[in-house]
Amino acid sequence: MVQSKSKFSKIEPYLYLLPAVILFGLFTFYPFFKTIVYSFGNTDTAGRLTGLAGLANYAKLLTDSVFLKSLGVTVVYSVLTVIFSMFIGVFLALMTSEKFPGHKVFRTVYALPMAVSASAAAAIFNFIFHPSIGILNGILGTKIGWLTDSRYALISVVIVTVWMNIGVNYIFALAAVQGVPQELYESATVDGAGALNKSLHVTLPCISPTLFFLLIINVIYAFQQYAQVKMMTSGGPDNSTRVLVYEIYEQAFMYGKFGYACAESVILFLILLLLTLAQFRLERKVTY
Amino acid sequence: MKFNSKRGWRRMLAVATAAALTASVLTGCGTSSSTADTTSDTTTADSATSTASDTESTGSVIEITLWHAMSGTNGEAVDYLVEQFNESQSEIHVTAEYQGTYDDSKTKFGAAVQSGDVPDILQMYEVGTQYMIDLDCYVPVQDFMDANGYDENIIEAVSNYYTYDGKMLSMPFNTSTPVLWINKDICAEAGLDVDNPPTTFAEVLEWSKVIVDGGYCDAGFSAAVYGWYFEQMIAGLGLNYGNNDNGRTSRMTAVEFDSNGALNQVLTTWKEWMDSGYCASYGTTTADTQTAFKAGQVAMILESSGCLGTFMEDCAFEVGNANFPKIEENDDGGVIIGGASMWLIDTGDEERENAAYQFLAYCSQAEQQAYWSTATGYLPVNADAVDTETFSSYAAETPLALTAVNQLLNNPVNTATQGCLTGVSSEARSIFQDNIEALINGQKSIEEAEADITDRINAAIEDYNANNG
Amino acid sequence: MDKKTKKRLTNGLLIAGNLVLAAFLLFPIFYCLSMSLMTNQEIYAQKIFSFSFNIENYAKALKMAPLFRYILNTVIVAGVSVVLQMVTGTLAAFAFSMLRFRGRNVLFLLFLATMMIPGQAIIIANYLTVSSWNMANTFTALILPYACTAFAVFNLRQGFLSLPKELHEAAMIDGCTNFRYFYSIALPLLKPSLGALGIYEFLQVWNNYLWPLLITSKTEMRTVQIGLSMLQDGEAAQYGPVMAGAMLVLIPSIIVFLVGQKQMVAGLTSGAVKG
Repeated sequence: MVQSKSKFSKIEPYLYLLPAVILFGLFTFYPFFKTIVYSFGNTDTAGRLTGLAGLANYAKLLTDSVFLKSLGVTVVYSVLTVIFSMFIGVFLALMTSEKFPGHKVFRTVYALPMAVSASAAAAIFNFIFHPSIGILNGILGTKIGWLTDSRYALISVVIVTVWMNIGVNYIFALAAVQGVPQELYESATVDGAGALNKSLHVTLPCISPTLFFLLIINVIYAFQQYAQVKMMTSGGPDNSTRVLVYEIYEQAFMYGKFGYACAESVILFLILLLLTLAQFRLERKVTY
Repeated sequence: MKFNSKRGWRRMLAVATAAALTASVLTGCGTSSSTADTTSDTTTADSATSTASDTESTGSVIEITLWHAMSGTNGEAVDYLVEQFNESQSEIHVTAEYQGTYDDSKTKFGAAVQSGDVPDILQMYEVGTQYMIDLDCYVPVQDFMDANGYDENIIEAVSNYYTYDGKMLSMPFNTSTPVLWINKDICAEAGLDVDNPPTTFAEVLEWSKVIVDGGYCDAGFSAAVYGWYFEQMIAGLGLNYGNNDNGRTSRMTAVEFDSNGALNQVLTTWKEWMDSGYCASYGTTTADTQTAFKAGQVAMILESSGCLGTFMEDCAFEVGNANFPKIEENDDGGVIIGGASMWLIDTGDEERENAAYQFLAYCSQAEQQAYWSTATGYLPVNADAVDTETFSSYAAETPLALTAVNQLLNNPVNTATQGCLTGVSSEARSIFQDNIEALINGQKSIEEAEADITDRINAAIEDYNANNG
Repeated sequence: MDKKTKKRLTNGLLIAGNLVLAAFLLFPIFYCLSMSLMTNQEIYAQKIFSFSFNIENYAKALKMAPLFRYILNTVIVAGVSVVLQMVTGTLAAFAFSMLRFRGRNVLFLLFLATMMIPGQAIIIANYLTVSSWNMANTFTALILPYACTAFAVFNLRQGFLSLPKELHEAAMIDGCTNFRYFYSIALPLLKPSLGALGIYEFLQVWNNYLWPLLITSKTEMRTVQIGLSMLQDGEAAQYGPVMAGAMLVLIPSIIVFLVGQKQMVAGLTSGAVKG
């Protein structure tokens, strides 16, 4: 009986990880470490560290009404985009998993929004949402300022984000649905299950690892996408669309306050970390 | 169980080799930047970027890099100017590189200063002047102007903006001023005298009333919620934005628009527009206000003189323009120029800096400015450009171009119109925009907005000054 | 007979339903195409569609930015990035899902953590790093930071986890090394996932703006998103050419879809379980 594993098999797993670890180390952990250091310091207008200031930046954050508002906005924005992106993406995947004439065309169509970059999408939707010549108002017969009224701006940005993200959710959900073994469906049919039942009790549980994956990804990206906000509302009106990551962008790249932006970044990171950990806890209880 | 570790190693090696090969191929492809000089830490320049095309191996051609933020047709005009300059002599070769929008190229430059990969010439927008002063990485263009006996006739209102402590720091390149754009068709229909456009905001409001009440248009007037207009309206009152002569005699440490009443007047005026029911607001994105104007949804808007070209092309009605309105008539009030200037970056190489200067001097000549202005819609910075054949024929065809030029030539020259010099412009404009939005939505009163704007901008200025110089 | 009509009915419903959904989803893209073919005046006249089929905007767009060159550059960058991400991602994901080793959970969390760091916080630092190696303006510089993403690792890990454990155990009994199993058995089963991942990652890199802007200055090395920004005049909005540019840039993406979709064909897993 082989008692000792060969030396190779002990370090083998780490070899698999090596390329990734090196790249992450260089391009993510090292700069993030710098970010953490900068968050405890002051920076000049070019972004260079001028001196350490302890928790000064963090203390300022606690009393910064704009920052606090952005936290609230981010929560609402994330919840809405995650729910709708996932729901619509999965729904479309279910609608096109069966073979019917033209199903291949629809599959390409549903993934298409992904190919449109944020700046192009923002330009198009800016036009659609325009208060006086936009199509949306034209069709609805209203004069709503979709991007200029603080009651509607966030919803409008959510719509654009959801539209952009449906594609991602769709292709991964579709890939997962494709992977469900046919036998399960067959035995369900034998048991007399209809289409809806099959979807609910066979498909969904089988793709739950992917659903979990999509949940995590959607949450993370809800916290990271800012291009739409930048090009459509610049965080306004009245900071109603100022998601945290956009606030960070403005502080760092438009106001030149890198130290402050780094502190905000650290906070963003911690929030995401906690959320992700919570979701993983949930996974163990819920995944099939 | 047999673990064939030899096989395992071999596979690993294969993958690793493949990766290494890919990497080496990649470093072979594409042009790599030449190695940087290591004479000094912060202001080392990249030795000139070489283009594959035309440099002879004489080694005596000086290579200059220009970073600019001009896109679209403006970018094409820059390329043309560079081409003309390169062809006009053989000692200097300029390469123009687009670096994104003003904001993006500013970010990139800040990073470049740290890495040492700086260009020879940088185009920086006007509100980035304090930023450049504090980065301390440039050579005042005045030094070279004096050494070379520069004698072009730069419009004083323009050179004034880029002058600090008596010296002109950068060479003005593209200049604009805000103007009032008018839909002549609608206004004429409403019976208004289009040859005598409004000069004050009160008059603008009167015109709007006539237009809207008569049903000629849904909205009479609109201004994008843009901080630039805020600064212009203060200058229109002949008052200073901040202390220390708008930051021009020494570093600005606090705002003055609260104590001299300018802020209150601006906010009151803005609120008047929005409460009247005759004006519309299309948000902070200036493009949206332009869209509404082009679509005939609003009769008058505030916008940059640079929009001339696009309005002439896209509007299905007759376009007119007028001087930027004032809150109240006064002789000291005027406009602050907008646009950008070219900065000579301190590369430590005087020969290169002088060569770069030659290009800037070339671009500021009357003939070149006339071309630039007619091609892009920016205003010529050289007063003599107006007299050139190029410009005169253009002005004959497009008389609207003269409005902004005349506004500039007749602009009073004082600290108010010199414009505020501060490092917090972006943030200050954001703060102003936030408050206007709150004011329009009825969520804040004028007093609250005033207090918020004043306090937050002062805090930003203090913070900036603490960290910079 | 009954089954046939039932199938026809289902098909009919599916087609109808999908048509409605697709119409909604596609509308913005259709609008973009439409605007790219209209003159600016027509755009402002609020037309949704015009029969004039004006291709002037495309000519303008190509004049203002060397879009074809940029598309080529970006195809290379995105293509190589995706391949590298697959390599690094599948290796790491395999380790996390199939192998046991110390620190597995902690390392996986660390990997995930990389996705939670806001890009803007680290981009300047990365610029300084790559710049100090004198690699600005190279393809390597454009690709390297994107040679590995936690997204790929995470997604593939989920994929490997969904493979039946018995498969691995059976292979082990047959004397298969881990790597052999990984390469010859597990990986092919993940083709649908790899297809989806390939599409997604390609588009992520395709849509990058800030990193290429920072790390390249020369026109020849630029990528498509920078090209698109070159079409937008600073002070004045020129929707026509912008939309035309967006459409041009969309074409390679569609090609990528079609290629990736082939990998996503169903029914690959069922064979493996039986065999």
